Amino acid sequence: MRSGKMKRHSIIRWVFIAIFVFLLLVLPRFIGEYYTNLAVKIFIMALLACSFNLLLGYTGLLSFGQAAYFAVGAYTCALLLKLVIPSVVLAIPVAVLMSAAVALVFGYFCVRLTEIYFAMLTLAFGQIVYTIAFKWESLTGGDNGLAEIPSPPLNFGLFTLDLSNAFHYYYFALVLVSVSIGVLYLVVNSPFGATLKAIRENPERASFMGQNVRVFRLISFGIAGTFSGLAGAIFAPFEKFVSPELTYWSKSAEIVLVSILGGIYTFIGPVVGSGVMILLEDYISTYTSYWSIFLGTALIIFVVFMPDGIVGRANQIFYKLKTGSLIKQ
Amino acid sequence: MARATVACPSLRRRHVDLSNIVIQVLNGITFAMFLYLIAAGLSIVFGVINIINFAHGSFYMLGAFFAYSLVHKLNFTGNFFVTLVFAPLLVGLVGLAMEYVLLRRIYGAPHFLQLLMTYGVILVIQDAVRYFWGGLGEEFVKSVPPPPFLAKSVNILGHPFPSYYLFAIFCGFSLAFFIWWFIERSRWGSLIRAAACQKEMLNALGVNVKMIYTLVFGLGAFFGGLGGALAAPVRAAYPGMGVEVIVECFIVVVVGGLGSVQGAFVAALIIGQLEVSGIMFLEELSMVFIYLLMVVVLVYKPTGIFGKKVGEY
Repeated sequence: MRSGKMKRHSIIRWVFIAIFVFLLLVLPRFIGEYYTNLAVKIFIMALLACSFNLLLGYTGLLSFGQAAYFAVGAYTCALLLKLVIPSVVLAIPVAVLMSAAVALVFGYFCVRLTEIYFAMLTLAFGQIVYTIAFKWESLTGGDNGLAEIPSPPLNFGLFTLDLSNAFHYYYFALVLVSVSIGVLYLVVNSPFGATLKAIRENPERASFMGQNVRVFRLISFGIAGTFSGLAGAIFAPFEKFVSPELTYWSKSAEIVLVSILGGIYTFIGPVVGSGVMILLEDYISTYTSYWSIFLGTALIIFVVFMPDGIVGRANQIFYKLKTGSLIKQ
Repeated sequence: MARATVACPSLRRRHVDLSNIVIQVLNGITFAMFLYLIAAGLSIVFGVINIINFAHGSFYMLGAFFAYSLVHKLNFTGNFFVTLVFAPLLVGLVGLAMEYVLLRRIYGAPHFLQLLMTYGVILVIQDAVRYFWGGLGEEFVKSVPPPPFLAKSVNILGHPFPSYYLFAIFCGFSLAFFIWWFIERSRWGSLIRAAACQKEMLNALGVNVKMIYTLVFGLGAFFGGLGGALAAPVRAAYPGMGVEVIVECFIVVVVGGLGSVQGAFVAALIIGQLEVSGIMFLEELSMVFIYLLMVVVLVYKPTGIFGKKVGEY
């Protein structure tokens, strides 16, 4: 009986996923170039927020410098494309490795601390990356950033992706982002992910059970940094421009914001948060340039009335409809 | 992003002799005083209420803009002290309102929600400042003239030194003394210290702890605004100054020890010297050094130079 119910549940779920994937595949046909570009922005933000949420939602560590790894990925990719070799096949993996390395080095120090001290230390490292991007003018272009980053075509033999074309880039980003988010999903649902959640709930108990809390936190930090770097590497040839703004602390705050907006205790929350935030920003900025005041107000209302985020609240309502009682969280 | 620093002409001179060093040290102390005034409020609020207030930089910005309006619209140039009192008072009122309407609701919430709410307040204040003082979506800088009797420079060892800087140093030291006295020696201070460590007990003794929290937050905002009003004649007022200054504030507060006001004073003096001598010798790396100092302190002594106990973190 129970297994039958479970089976039906999971079939419905796969049907939903299949419909969603189908919609994503045909979407660019209907929405035009402008919204296709916006969709790519959402993909990049979604990957960034998801990787960040591995730390906040699953490991219980608030990283306030996640933009740093994004920027390391973006700058590395941009520099390789511009100066070394115009090939994304080479530039993106190297950029990802670079941000993974930086994340592991910074993470080695960060995971010694928790709570507010962890947030402060990640903030400090983020600002160090910002200062380097800002001051090392000969390499990073300083305040002006790096412009005219090439986006060379990608040849698969059977067909060629022209990455300077918005529609082609859409599919390129879609594949990379969905595979990465899939990998992150596998990570959080693996025994490793279960250990992370145990550490989030009670680090002491987890360590009494023989888990090396620091090592797990460091690996989590490294994975988060790696995928943030990948998001950055996808960003650079898309935007064709990188600047130190990418790693300023307000950018890191934005990542925290979209994740909490969507709901950090659900896997898909940060993805939904990115979509809502970017669409809302696009919509409101066409009417007024005072977009921040709306965002700020929305944020305050969210914190007070919906601390579980959009997806968290939706889950609760769904559960209430089904069982007639609210989840106690 | 143009970072406003206390750049005085003598700062760029690379010729080093004793009198130059004295001037540099004085520049550093001036810079430290601005940092301290802003960081003190942040530190008091963290120490008592246990909230990291990202919007504290916005209080600093509001202080500068209120000072601008008081000086220009109400023509208080002649009597700068009126501005120095009223601008922070207005900011203090904003702080009281923020605590009463918003922060009160989330004292029990996790740290990241508190951070997020104060970040929301930054965004709101940022656009409000653009709306009231600037144009639609454009960058603007409002300069605030120093009061006439402080607009000259004095001669120190053959170098001209702005007399306003000396005034700022005087204000910084006297306020540091006042804050120390207020927290450690006055009756209100003992209530505040009690609220920081024995909230329930204090409540049981019939003290209105909620009101103390509100007042402490207002006081923190007041000091932030005072820092802004005092810095306005040197650094001008522009949107974005709050977001820039808050990171420097965090460095000061973390290096000094979260919640320790005396620690913030010492840390501000260290960072002021580092920043000014850094600009003089290694311009590119000066900020990196300061962030590295923060990293080293956090890694080896997370409670800061003056932090006494580790608490539950």
